[in-house]
Amino acid sequence: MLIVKDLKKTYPSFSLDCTLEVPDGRITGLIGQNGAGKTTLFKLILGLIFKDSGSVTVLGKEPSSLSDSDRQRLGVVLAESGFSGYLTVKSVCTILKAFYPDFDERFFMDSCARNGLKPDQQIKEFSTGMKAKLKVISALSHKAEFLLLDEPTSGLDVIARDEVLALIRDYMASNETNSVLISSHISSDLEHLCDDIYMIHEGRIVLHEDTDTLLSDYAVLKVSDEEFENLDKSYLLRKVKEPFGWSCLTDKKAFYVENYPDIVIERSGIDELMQNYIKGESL
Amino acid sequence: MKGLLMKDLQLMAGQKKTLIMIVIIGVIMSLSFESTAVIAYLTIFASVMALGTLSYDEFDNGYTFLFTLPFSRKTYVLEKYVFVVIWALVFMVVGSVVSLILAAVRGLTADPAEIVVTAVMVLAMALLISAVMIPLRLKYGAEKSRIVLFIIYGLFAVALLGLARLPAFQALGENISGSVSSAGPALIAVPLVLAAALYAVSMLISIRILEKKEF
Repeated sequence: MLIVKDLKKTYPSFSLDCTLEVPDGRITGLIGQNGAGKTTLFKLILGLIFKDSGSVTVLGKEPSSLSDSDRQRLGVVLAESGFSGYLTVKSVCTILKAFYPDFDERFFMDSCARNGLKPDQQIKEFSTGMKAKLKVISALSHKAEFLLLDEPTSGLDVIARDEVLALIRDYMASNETNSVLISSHISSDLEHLCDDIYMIHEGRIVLHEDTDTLLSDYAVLKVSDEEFENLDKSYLLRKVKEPFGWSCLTDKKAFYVENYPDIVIERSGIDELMQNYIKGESL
Repeated sequence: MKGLLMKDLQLMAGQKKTLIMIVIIGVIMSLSFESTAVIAYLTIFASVMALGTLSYDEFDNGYTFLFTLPFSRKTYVLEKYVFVVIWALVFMVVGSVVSLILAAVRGLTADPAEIVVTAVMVLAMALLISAVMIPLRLKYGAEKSRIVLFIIYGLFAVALLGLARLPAFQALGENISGSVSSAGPALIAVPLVLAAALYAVSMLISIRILEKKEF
């Protein structure tokens, strides 16, 4: 569905250099801090900005040669941009109907009603959560084969976040052949949704792993200086100095559980793994 | 194209009140002025409003998302130029009708030739204004293009004032106005054709600007 290879884009204060792939039927997550390059990557994939070198293939084509009917197969959510705030839900519906032959008006209006989006209210009067829901509903309303969701939950409170994720999850449950690339700086959003996860940091992909493997095999060891000395470090990826000693990231949790029954091994979520990866130094 | 036209119509629908106000003011105005003034007023105002859809598209980072929808950059430019013309034409017709009705109400004899001449000239003006505005807006955005526009108008005014002081130019002016009145209505097509040609060139420039733009 999407192949990104050695894709480079350089700005005066930032440079992106990425390789990544979203196979058909997969939900791929992209985690990174603000400014890590997630949005830049999405913009390159969508042809909104132009690459310096490398290649992007989306639906089998370069972004610049996507036809209108190719673009109709994409569903896009961007964190910082949406329909003009001067439009109403009803007019967005009319516009989408004109743009997409497969637009499902009933799904759109029902989903809006269920999420409390009033048909005649201007979008600029919506709360952040309502705007986010409208964006996601719009992207899901025309039977897109490939969803590109850049920070669909950005700036939302816990409840709104869950509602937005529920929209995406429901859609994925009923359209299992679809592919998705979804980014977030909050990885718990992605843990339960994605098949695999890429971690992006300062414009580079630093880690790519199946979500299951990340959750089962990766762990953070909390050890004292003394324990650290005696530790077999073959399977440690990163270490971070802590007041109590060291936090170490491993991708072979089972090895340490078996051989060092006394050390503290945290059941870590992807957020901790990511923090450790980014803050830590390699061994 | 259909989707984009629909979007601009929806944006305009959001300004129904402004549109109605403009027509009412136009009617009131022409009760006291000559009745053809309403054509100019409505056509120019309408085309400026149509140009305003560029600001609505740009508002709050809107371009970025807009250009993920299924249309090409070229289509965006074409649609904008078509939309402005349609909008100007519609209000030119509305203005002309209002002008005819008002003339009848005030018991004046309406001169169809005068209405046609005014309508054509005004349309040419609307095209010229848009031909300058659209590429500027696309290149510099709403904020910066305003400054650039001031500079262009300023230079234009200075150039015209300077030219007007030249005796040769004054003689030329008299010549032209003399020949216009003798050659008659056929000549009124000239400014319109010129404006349309400039409009087309402007469109090509806009396409090039937009195809290079990063969002």
